Amino acid sequence: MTNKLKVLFSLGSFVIFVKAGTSQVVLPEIGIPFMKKLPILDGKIEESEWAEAARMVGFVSQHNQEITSREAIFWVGADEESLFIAIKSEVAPDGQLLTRAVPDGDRDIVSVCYDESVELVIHPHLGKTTGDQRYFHLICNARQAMYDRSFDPANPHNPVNTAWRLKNWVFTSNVIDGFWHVEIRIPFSEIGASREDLDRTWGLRVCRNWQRPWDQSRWENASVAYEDIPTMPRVSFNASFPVVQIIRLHDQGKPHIELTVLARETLAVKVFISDAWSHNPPTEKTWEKTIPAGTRETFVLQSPHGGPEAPHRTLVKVTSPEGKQVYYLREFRWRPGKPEDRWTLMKEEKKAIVLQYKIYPYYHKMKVRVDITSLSSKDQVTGAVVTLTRKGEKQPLLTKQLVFKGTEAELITDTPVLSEGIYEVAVRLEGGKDVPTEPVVELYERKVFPWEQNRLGLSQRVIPPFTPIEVKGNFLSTVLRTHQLNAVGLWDQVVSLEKPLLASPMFWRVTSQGQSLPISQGRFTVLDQKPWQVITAGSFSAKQFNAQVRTEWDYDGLAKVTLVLNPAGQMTIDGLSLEIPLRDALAQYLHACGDGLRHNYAGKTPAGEGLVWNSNQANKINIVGPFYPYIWLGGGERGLAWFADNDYDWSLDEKKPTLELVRQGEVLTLRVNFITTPTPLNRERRIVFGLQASPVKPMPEIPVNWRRWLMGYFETPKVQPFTILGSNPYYGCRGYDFYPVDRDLSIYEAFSQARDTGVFDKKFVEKWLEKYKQFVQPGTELWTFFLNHINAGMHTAASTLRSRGWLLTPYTNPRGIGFHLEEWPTFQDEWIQFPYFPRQKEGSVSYEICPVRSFQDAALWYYREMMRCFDGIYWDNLYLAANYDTVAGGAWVDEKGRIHPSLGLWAMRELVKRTAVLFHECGRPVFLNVVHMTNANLIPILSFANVSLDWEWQYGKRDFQDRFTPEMTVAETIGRQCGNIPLILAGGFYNQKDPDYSWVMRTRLGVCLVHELKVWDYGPAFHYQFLKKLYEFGYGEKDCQVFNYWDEHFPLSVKGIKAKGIVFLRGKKALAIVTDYGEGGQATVSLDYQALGLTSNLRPKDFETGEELTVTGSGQPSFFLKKHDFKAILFE
Amino acid sequence: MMIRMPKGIWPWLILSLWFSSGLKSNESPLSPWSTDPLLRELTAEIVFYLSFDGGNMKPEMALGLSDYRLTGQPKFVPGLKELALTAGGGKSGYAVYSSKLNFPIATQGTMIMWVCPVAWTHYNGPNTIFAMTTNFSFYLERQGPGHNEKGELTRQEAVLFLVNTPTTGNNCINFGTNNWPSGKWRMLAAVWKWPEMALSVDAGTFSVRSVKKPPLAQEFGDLLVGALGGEETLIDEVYVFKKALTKEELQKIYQAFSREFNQKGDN
Repeated sequence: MTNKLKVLFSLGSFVIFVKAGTSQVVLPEIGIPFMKKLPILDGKIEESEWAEAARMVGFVSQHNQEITSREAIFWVGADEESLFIAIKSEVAPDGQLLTRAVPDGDRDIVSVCYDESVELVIHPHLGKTTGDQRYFHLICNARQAMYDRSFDPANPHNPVNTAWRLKNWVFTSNVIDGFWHVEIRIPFSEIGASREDLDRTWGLRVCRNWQRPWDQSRWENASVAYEDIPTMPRVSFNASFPVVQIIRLHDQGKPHIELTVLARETLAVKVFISDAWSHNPPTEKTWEKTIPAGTRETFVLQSPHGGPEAPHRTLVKVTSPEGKQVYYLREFRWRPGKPEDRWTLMKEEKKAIVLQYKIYPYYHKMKVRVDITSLSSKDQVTGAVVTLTRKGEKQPLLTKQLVFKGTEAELITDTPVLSEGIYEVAVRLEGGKDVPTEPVVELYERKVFPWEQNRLGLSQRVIPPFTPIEVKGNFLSTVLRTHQLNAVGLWDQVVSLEKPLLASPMFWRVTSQGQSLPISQGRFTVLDQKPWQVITAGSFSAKQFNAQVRTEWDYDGLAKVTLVLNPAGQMTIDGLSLEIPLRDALAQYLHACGDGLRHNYAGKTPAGEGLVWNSNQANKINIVGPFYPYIWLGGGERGLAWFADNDYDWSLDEKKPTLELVRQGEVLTLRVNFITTPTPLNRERRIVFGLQASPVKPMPEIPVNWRRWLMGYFETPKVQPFTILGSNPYYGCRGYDFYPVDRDLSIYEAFSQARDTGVFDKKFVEKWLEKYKQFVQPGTELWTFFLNHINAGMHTAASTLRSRGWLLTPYTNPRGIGFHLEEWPTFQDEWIQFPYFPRQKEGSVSYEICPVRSFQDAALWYYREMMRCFDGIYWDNLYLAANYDTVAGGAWVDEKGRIHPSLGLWAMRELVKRTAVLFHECGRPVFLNVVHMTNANLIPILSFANVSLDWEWQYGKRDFQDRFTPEMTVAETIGRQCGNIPLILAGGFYNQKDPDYSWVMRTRLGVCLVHELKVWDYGPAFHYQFLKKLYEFGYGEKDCQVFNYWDEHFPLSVKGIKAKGIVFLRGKKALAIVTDYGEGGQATVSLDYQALGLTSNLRPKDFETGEELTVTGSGQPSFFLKKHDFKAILFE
Repeated sequence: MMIRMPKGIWPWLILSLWFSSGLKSNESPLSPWSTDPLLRELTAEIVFYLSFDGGNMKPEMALGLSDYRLTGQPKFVPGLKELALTAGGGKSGYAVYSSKLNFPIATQGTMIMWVCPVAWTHYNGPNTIFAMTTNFSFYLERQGPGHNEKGELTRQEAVLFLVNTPTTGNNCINFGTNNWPSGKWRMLAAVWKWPEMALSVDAGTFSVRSVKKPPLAQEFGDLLVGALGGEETLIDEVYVFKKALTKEELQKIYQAFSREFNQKGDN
């Protein structure tokens, strides 16, 4: 006979076969007397108060049918009027009872099921077949939020009464010393129990519902439906019954099954205890004893055990000597030990240790931040150890101690070179006894990619139209500009397009104790000289203070200046400024950029004398303090930009501006304030900024003059047609990706073939779409999106024939990425602009990436592949944006703990520059590199592109004159400062059937004509018809001169209306276009025939209609111009 | 068309099945919170829950105080299970609850709610606040659209998850609502685990952003739910979790409850 069978056999008639499930279940039974001394129901259980109630130890977990390791004792008693129940159960180590459900009158609160609660099923009518047969079910939490109802077997068609509510009952509870004490009294009258019902056996389930983790534990060891009547524990009442109480199951882990029997009257009992651990034979003991009235006898079985984890199976049976009357029966399985994970709280404690990290493969660095704000034992934490370990290995690659400031600790440390594999970043807290000792571990995946550390676009060369840098003495020349340099590391003068921009030399102003200090200059030196880069140096001093100025010149004229302030003992200075005196006449326009776009000022430089503008007036979003990163001052053709990527090592008063414009007569001084608060010069400071005169290069001349580049195509000789694929999915990408789906570059070959043949390869598209099934369901909207895009992309490729000279450029987003990209897990930390970022593998960010070196390497690698079918790169939204990363991103932390973001200026410039160089490296000097820069004409970034895209802004049906002022257009949109073709978005109004469409498009044409803007649009027809006539006139030909209204000596004046104009001169004929920017009216146009070398007897005609225009007595054309209309006047 | 349980039946279903853990899962439409192991574990993370099913603003679950201050007269109409709160429309109201323990906005958590457009013009309309903190540092709301007299769009319509404190700066995630028809319920989930915050609609792709520095607890006021003004919207089943739910957890919730509410996902 097996041990198990032996135990079962010993149970005799108590074994009940339960239908649900397959196991045999011994139902608990108790026989209880009526209590003479009733407990005080105050929510504080005293053993003495419950001495006359049956006492049970432990509830059975529903998960494994063992007594749950979470401690509990419960009592069941009665007097002749009420049922009494008490439950004392362990609460979580944090002392908190999860109690959230809130009572709401008599409404059943379902949510009580998700709380720690007590649950009862009471069947006072068990076995009855007539009369009241109801039984009752209730759940209640410590707040007494309830869910209850009754069941009536006598009403089989509608047995459930959810409206039933247990009333006039007593429920008190408290959490005392880590235990939840619940005391309950249920009057029999509330559950329809009569005196007669007490003569019958009742059914009673007593349950404790736990959370963290969830468990429904109960008296019996059956896991069946709660309303299952046959499996309900049984309770009998009789005044002569003894009180049986299980006192304990073990003593300090050793099995010690102790029970007491209290005889109300002298009573003979038979006590049987059996205990077996694991598969060992049970230890059994039987006592037959007569217990005197009023006496409590103790019975103990001590049995062998196998340690705290060893399972025990125990049977306790107290009966009358012959076994017929059961006073107590319970069979249960249990273990003496308490596993550490019996509460998920330890897991929660671990979750309360927030570990964030970044790993920088290019920099061989790791940044770790640990936050224990939510940790209950945070006050005991003394430190932490962080390790980086290759997964599967024991020895960490690095181990570092973390020091907490408050509840946070952060560390940046070097790492070894990480080869391909998975790494564990782990942090283990140190401190008092309650501090979790388990490490918190995060995983990092290092993959090595073929593009890493490539040199694409980095060849040392000068690409046209730039020219090699020339240095003669202290004169340094780049294309279109000559800089005269001085000994303090600044410029005495810069001549741009043959005009000097400075009214006097730039200079440093140093103030101390309210006084400007005299500056002593050092020596101008050329440290290195190559055609593509020159390094110059200067220095200056003021009292004990001295500074070195080192300038790296790039061949687009960008001067990257590093100002090193050397320590000067005890000296303190109040201010350090760079002053740039500009010729006011050449600084009529101002463009200032903070972080973000569509809020940057572009327009006329404010009028007035003295301080006319400061950067505290300018818009920005996330820049910390008064730092402002970019300003340009100039005219339509030339100007000067100052810029910085961050304010590292500046010393700033929070309220004083960093940029100021001061006008004194004909001099407009740009003042850049690096130090605005008393600053001891007790350490070295290194301040980096840039200067760049504009234009940075000539407007494009290859393959044709920029004026003949056209988005859209019609049969006009010498027009350069181009188009842009406006998003990545057009060419097979899933999102903002470097490469098409599955890194399958065959689509580029298909596009290339389409561009050569003009044939749309439908079979390829069908095959290609098969790839998408791995992440999108056919037939869904998303599927249709991809289908439409790939079809449109292929159609565009087939329409932009190489044989006709088309240039086709694809959209890319250097600020966005899809998390599904294989590179993301490895390189996300370098690329994302946030201090830390979740390691997600799905989703994307649109404008939160900074194209740092590793991003550039990846991008350039795949740009080169895209050159198989495309002719350039389009970059979306290259505005300045806050990058909070302190390792790859260049952000820094000030003494207040604030992160000062950098703005991505140098990274974005490098991306655009490398791309331009790449095209030349690949023998593709003709390209279409488009920078989308809406409202952020950042010269150092846009310098190496050849198309600037603006006006993704002010959409709708308004006239274009109401959207953008001409001053803003000159300062930001016309492309001349960067030598880029100016392109604008269409304006967000596409409904050609709208009655307003033609008019709004005409206002767009008028605005575009006088500013020479190209439009990303393919309509309306009259726009292109006009351009065709313009090209036929000779626009864009070498012998066709163009005069812009921002030029000095502009040969056109208009009276009577507020208008802007443009003049084209070819041979002996001229064309003037006048666009109204006011209210319209009678306009009179004067053309300076003499300046243009024309005879004054030319007859003005309407260029569009050919009709002769009315002239004034002095021969000037005069006409009525509708508000915002334009007139093109041909003089021939 | 949405099918609703007759009043009083839904809770019974849950309970009867809750107690019937021996039943196979395909025998009855079990309550996801109790039958799905993942969701059941998540119930321990719930710190606040408004069902509105009692026809009042009383929270059905509140880890902190359940008291609330009322402004206006909140209007309740048939919702996903029983009743839903009408937000906006000028004839409802809102309630303010203690944020302490109920709304862990300064650490980590998730606010889930189902919203349903009732009278959205998709042309010109004021904002409808679904939930906010009383000092305006947190919002989960629908920004109403704006057009000027020429019919030009001046303000995009979108649902917004916005956090704006002196420490975090102004951070907003939005999701366009131009194509949201009346009568269609959507599940919004605002998730935060500083410095990250995320917004998801119908458990779709997370829009994620990161604030420059985690906020301080004192930068948030009490929790307000509902609105007097704004374009009329129904709100139902508002849950706050003290855990930043993962995308998988949200999808599980969405899939489970959109089935229960007879909704079809619209990712």
